[in-house]
Amino acid sequence: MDNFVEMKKRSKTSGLFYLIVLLLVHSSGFAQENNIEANFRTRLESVLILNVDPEIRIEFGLNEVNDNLYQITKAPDAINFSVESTENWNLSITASDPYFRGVNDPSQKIPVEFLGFYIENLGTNWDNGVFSNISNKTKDTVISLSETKTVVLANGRRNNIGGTNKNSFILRWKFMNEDNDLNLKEISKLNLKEDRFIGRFYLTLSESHANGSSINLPINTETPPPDKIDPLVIKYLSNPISPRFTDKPEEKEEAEEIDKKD
Amino acid sequence: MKCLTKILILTITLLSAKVFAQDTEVVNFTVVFESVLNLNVTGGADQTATFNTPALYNLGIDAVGSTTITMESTSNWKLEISAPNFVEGATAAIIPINNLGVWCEATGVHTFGNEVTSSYTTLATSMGITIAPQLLIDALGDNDGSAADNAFTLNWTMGTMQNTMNPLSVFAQLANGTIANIGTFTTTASLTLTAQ
Repeated sequence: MDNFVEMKKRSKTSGLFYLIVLLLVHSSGFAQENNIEANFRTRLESVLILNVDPEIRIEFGLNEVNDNLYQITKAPDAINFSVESTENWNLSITASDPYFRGVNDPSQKIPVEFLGFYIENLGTNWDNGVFSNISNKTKDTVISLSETKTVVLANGRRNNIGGTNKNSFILRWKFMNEDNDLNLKEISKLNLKEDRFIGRFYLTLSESHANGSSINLPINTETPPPDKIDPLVIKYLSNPISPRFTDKPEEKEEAEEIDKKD
Repeated sequence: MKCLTKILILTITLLSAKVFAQDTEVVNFTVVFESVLNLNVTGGADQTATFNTPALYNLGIDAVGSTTITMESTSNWKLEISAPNFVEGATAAIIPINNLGVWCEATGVHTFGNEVTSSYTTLATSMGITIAPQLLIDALGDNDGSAADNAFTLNWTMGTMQNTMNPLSVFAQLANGTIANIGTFTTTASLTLTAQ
């Protein structure tokens, strides 16, 4: 009788044990997970691109319509360009030649300082000075073209990283004699005849940090002429009557002068 | 009486002989169906995305590469994915992980809309990966089965601003400082297969 009771007790204990094991197996089935991993590597490489027509050049036409009165027969074209850069950047402009030379008569030369330029910002990066994205040296002024490398656009406190939507510009030319407030360059003694004048320049895009690369346009440089006249000398030799420039036809100019006399 | 005794002895003898002629053995079979849940990468465990042109910085990379996976499961399952931000080894610079996107194709017997379901089955509906796990593939009907049943291709995309991915281009994130600098960044995505 005692054996029977003992056996009954044992079977109850073992049954409980199996039940626990079953429950454990069951619950672990719900929590079952399996993990694998995939490795990713992303390389952000440096991009520094100046988008501009590689054949750009400065071309304008002049015609002496009267003593010391010159007519601009062709104004130099404005130049659109944009910058795409993953780093802060700066842009400089340098004349590749100290003179514009006549197409028909290459002996006719006009110093490059005769022409000024300014850059209009068309992108979304602000060019409102050193506290904005871009510091634009030509923001409120016109700078003479020069053989000296002149940084005209540079990053401000905010960076100027970005693509064409952020860094899009237009380079506009202006004859320095058009505005009396500007530093006038007299050319009356150059005895210019009617001609088209051509010159080239470099746009140099550089990363702002010291080890940055740079891009020069145009790639092919032209040999500078052996002689170079200091623009100040030209000013000293100038006629007391400053030359003027007009883009109006000669007949219209004369008619206006008659009207003024009347 | 003597006759009766003889019959009794004969019967007992026959019975005992019959008993000795019989032998019965029992063989017990036990079949155990244990739970199986395997997730296997069959290709593309390492992926590299290189940004080296303005177009890639602006528009992203549609097809970085793909990872092929299979599942073997005795029960219904679901697949989740997560990853930390990309980090550059040399600096503390990061690329937010939601610049990485994934969309999947079913290449086995089980297909989307039948045994399995996913909201991310085209490039345009790519899932932007997040640090927290997100459900990528779930059971629709019974999706338990072998590797032949459960085979999938995970297509990776980066910087494409699709669906729940980062809405800014990589260029814009470089410009606004979210991505502090260029360089080489790494991360490891975790795929978690869970029995349901």
